[in-house]
Amino acid sequence: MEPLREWQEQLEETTLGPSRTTTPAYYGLVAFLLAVLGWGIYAYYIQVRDGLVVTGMNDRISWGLYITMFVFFIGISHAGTLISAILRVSNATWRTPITRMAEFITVVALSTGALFVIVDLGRPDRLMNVLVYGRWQSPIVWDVVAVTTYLTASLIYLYLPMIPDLAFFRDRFANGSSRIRRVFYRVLALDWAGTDRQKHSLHRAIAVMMILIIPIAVSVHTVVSWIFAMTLREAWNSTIFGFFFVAGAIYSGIATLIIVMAILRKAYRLERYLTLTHFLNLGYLLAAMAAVMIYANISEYVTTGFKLEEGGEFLFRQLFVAEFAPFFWFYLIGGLLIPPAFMLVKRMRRIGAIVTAAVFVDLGMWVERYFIVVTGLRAPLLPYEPASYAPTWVEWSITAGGFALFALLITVFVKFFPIMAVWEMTEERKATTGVAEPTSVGSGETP
Amino acid sequence: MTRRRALRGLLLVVVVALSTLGPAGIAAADHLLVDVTGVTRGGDRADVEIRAVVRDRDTGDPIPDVVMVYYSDAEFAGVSGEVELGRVLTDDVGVALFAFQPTVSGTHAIRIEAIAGPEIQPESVSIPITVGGQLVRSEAGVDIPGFGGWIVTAIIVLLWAIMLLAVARVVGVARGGPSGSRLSLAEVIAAVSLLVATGLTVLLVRSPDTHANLNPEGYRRTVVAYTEADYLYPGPGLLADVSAEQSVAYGRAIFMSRGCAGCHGVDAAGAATASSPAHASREWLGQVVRSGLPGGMPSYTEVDLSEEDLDAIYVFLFAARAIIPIEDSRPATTTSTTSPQPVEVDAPPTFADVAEIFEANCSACHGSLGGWDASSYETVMDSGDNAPVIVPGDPNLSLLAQKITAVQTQGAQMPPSGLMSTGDIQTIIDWIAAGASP
Repeated sequence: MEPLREWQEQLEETTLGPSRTTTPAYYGLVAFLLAVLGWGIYAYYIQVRDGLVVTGMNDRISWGLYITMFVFFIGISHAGTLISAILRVSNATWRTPITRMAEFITVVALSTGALFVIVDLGRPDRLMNVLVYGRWQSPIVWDVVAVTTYLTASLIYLYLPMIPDLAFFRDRFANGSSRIRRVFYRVLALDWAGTDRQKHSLHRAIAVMMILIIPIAVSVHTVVSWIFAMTLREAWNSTIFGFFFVAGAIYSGIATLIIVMAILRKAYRLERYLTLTHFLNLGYLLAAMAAVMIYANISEYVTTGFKLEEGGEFLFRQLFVAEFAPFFWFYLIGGLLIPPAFMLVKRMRRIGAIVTAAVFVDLGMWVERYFIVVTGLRAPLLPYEPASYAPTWVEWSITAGGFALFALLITVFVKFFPIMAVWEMTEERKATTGVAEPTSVGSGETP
Repeated sequence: MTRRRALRGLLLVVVVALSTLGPAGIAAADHLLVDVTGVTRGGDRADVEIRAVVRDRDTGDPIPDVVMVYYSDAEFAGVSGEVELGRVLTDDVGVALFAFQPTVSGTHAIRIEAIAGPEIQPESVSIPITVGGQLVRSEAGVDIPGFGGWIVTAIIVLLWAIMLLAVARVVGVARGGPSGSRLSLAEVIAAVSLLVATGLTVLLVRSPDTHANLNPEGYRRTVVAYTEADYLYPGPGLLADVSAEQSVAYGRAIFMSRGCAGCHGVDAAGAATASSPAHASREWLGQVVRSGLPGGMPSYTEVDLSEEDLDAIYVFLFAARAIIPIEDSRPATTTSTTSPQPVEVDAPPTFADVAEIFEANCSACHGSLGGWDASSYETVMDSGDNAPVIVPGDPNLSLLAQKITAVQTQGAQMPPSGLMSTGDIQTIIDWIAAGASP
């Protein structure tokens, strides 16, 4: 095994890479994402100007793509924090290269998702009414409280382990960089010099947050599901909705993490650190969550389908045999059965295959979110003709803008922040190799 | 002797009269004094109790059996006034106790009117009463003792307290550095976290007092909007400040001015000559208006009637759906294209029918003041400064029909007091359309 010092220098260079050089392809990507985002903002302007009448939503189906995106992104946000926190609590040492990305996905997805609630408002100028007239009896207020708490906690949880790495960036960019950049890292690094007192404080803070964030994350998606389950709707009248949503969130969160990891690995040549082992471990986690999801689906549809009350029959028909059947079967087979099958076959245990499985999972889960929202509202409460809903170009544009915003924030993040936890990886390396060499990370001296 | 007896008798009458009038005289006009001596708030049900004493203004004696009527200021659907809350009688010592349960929070002007008798002028006092908090507590649901919103608040406070402990450690990290700086990003993070924690706690704690229905000040209801998938109503968005009412009124004006009302009725409910177009889809409306129908529906080019105007008409028709049953309009949207036989019509109105309307609405002036004369069939058809005012068979060209629907090409709308009832207008239009026979 190569000496620790050499290994560490290599790691530092790799982590610094994205911040040092900017390729034309990078600018191209940012320009493209900005263009898509700009188009989404234009569509939103149309919506604000003319009202929600420009969307496909109506009095009968009053939630559509926007709420789907809200649920989907809140689900994605479980990628990070929950996975990273659970792995940290269980002391899974292989986690260190991937935690930073996971935590960042959380913050970005959460912000994007919360934005879609505002997009869904016909009168966004009355947003503050939820605070002024809010009451705890309302599931909407539960959401506001839970998402706010989760966003704050995720930001702190992202920031804490990053402090030593920011100090390392501060030291590296001390000379020959622009003034803005130096101030930026100096402020963020909080005068970190790796003193015992600082290490002690940091370890305690991380220890508190990694445990606290797990119940918060679980509560967030439970409460999101209760937006539906607390409503008198046949399709949403389920006691396992909270569990169902949390499981689905972790499932799609892991898939998104795999996809983002694979992209960054290719773009910034992180092959040395993000190895097949990481993808395999996440793949196994994905397969385990798929099993949980399959079980939850069986439990949900067999209990309601066996009794099949009047409203349930309509729901079953539209999902399994009528209008929505092709996509719903895609969700069941492509989203739930195929991805774990990939992991069962030994020959498929390759990065490419795992990423493919992850893409299937995200597509399937997006379809599932859409169906929960739309098919639930479509099932009539009174013996009417069922209502119909089709998203308009405005909704599709804003949705595309949302995905672009998500990608853009990640793209910009890797430019300014350490994408891997250098400090934690070095500590980990030291522990496994047993070499007690002095580390230079964030110690103030330039190696 | 007899004179003296008569005088004594008269004196007796005066004394008796005075003695009977006397007690009444004490309570006579502007001699009442109403004092509100206390306002108390009851427990959970938020009852307000008003205690008042009625006295003689001069002697200070309490007056029993005075009827006390209690009013509260009130506002409903933009109309403000007073509502009577109830009435009680004063007791032996002139005290009136009145309790009521307010259902709207805020400051109410409560007016108390004291009525002592028919010939005594009532006395009235007003007091402001401010109520707030949770006024109505639903009886529905299962009340689990000790279970309530405080649990949610406690959980959130606990979570945030733990989180703030972690944030305090971040401050510890900053302070533990070699330069020992005092103010850094860590303090900002701590301050923001504390602020968010406080905000969320306040949101939960003040929950019982926030419900919009209980807090009418500063809360504006959303403008009623019509929505349906194929509804082209262009608002109310935030930037285009058009209310639903304005938009419908505009559509109605187009409907009247382009001659649609002449056959389809002023409120689009259908008439003798044509059925109601209210339930037509926007697409169908466009087709029929552009190409016409064999039964007599003319075609309009885009110069006559722009697409925007059609949209406006559609908005008006859509709003009219609420009062026009779908059965009434079926012939116009479906049957009339497939089956050419004419729709069965009622007998058109006769001159006797319209003469009645003229008598009630027009004859006061038209007949005595010159100009058009509404008194007989001949004068109706021939008289007037712009005669003839009636073109038999064509209400759109008839000045009379134009003036009563406020789309006149000359002069002012009639009657000057405002439009007649739609029924009357329809009768006149139908009469003209049917040939304006005598």
